[in-house]
Amino acid sequence: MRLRLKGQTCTYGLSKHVVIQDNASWQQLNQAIVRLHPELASSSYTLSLNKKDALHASAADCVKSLGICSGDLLWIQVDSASQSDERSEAFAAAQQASPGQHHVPADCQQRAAPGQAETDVSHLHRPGQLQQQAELRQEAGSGVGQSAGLADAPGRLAAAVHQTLLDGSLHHVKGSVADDASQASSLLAHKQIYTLSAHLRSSSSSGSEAACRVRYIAMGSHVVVWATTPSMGVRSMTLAADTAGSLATQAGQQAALLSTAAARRVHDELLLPVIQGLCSDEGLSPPTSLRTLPLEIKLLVLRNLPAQGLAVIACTCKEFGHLASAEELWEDLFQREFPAQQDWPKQPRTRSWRSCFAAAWKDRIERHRHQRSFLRHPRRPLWPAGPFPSRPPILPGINGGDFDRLPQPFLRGSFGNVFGSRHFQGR
Amino acid sequence: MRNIVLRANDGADHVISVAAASLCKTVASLLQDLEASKGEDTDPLIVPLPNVCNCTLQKVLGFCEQQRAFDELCTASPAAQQADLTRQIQAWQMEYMQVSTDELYHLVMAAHYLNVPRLLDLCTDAMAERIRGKSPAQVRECFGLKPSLSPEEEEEIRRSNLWALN
Repeated sequence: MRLRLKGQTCTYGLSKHVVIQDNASWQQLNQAIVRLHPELASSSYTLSLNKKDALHASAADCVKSLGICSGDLLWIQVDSASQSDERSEAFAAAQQASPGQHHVPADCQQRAAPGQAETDVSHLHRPGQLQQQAELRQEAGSGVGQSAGLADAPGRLAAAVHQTLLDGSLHHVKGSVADDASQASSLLAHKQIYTLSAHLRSSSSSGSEAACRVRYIAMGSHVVVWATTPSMGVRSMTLAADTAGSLATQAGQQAALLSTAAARRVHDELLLPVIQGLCSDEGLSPPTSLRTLPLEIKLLVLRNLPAQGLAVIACTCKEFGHLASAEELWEDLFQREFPAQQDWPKQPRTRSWRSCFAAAWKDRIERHRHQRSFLRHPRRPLWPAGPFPSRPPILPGINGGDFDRLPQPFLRGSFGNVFGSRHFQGR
Repeated sequence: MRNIVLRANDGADHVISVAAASLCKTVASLLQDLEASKGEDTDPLIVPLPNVCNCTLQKVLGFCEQQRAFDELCTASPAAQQADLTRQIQAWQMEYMQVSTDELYHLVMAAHYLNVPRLLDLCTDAMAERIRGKSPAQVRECFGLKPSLSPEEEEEIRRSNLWALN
């Protein structure tokens, strides 16, 4: 069963597809949704088919029994704080009324419900994150945020970016942040440019320092970060802070979460490639990456990949090309993906499991395509049921009724000479 | 109850209980060996971990403690709440895995070294999740892989994998 998901906030604005089994339970559906949208795990949300009537079900209910079928569009609506309070009260009441039943939407309600054995997950944030938040606050208080006089959300975002750049083995060497910011703010009130002239921290020798400039600028509700390196040129990315602004009014915790998410994005998409490029320029040993992990871990990662991911990573480099064409991986995948075709590779096998898998996959895609085209163009009936636009042809031998009284120019000659015959005309 | 002190490579000590440490198979087997040879001991056991850094160790220990707590809850709670509890665990794990790729590498190395099967599963899953749905060029960029194939080889591999690439 394949469902489309859509939400009303811009964070979940794009529709995504979720694939579940036909007889999946409500709980499995929710798990699949949370897997697609990890940010929903900590907030309460409701699902609806028409954006109005929220669906309520117990965990074990079959999805089909709710009237959801394949291809439906499910709306995700994230409850605001007041709504979730109301609903958690309702939920508590429901809990007391029927203790065996579980209302599904969002675990935070269950956390809020009293009189239930539960874990308080709110204090379980990783210590590193708390530390980082504290540092962020310090940073915002002393340096970046305050001196620049930024608006709340972009300021926090910029502070997060700054902290990320400092964390990830870059350190700024000249032009203190505050100076640059004040200069820039005197020129343009709505733009603040920071320059982090960053050098790679190298323990070996201070002489081999690679220069790289990372700048970021708060423009309205967005923060643009771009890095310039001699070998790779310019890389840039844009972070949106408007969602952070709207969330900041609701809860400071969520905004902090968002800024750490943004920091993570900067780190993964901008900083890591830059550092790797710098390392290769300088001939230093590269930072830890998938390539430098031990072989067992690589194999474990490959084991968890689906077939498409395996095929993609086989195209990336030679080593992974070899690793990803291992027979055991593809045998496992084949058994998992096509359990009905166990006897497909015949006993004296001439093909590898990989090519067997590819053939079975193509076969399946072809069959699905055929099925879909059959649905789109249903077969025309052999004989159209009336009303007829013209008189149906009269077959020889089954004549009868009023038609036979009229002259039949077509039935002359070889067919039984009933009326249009010579004898009739002659009289 | 005996305490175990794990010492990171920068000398920072972390004290955990035996129950939580039993999730780390390396530490658990060490503990068993010691008990077999020396018998019960009440002194804290100091385990130096030369290739695990402080922040990673903190994160791994957080995982161990939390899993321990969840396990106890699982055994204590009635069957009706199990579904609930697994949902909470999943949510927690999802939040736990919100780390940068760099941290994830260190985490998976530490999990491999300390032999924490569940954490290893979780990390490799998360890594596979990051590879999934990307094109070869994107994967190469994200994970810092060097294109070591010649163009003809790459074209050949591409052609043989064409069924998966679009």
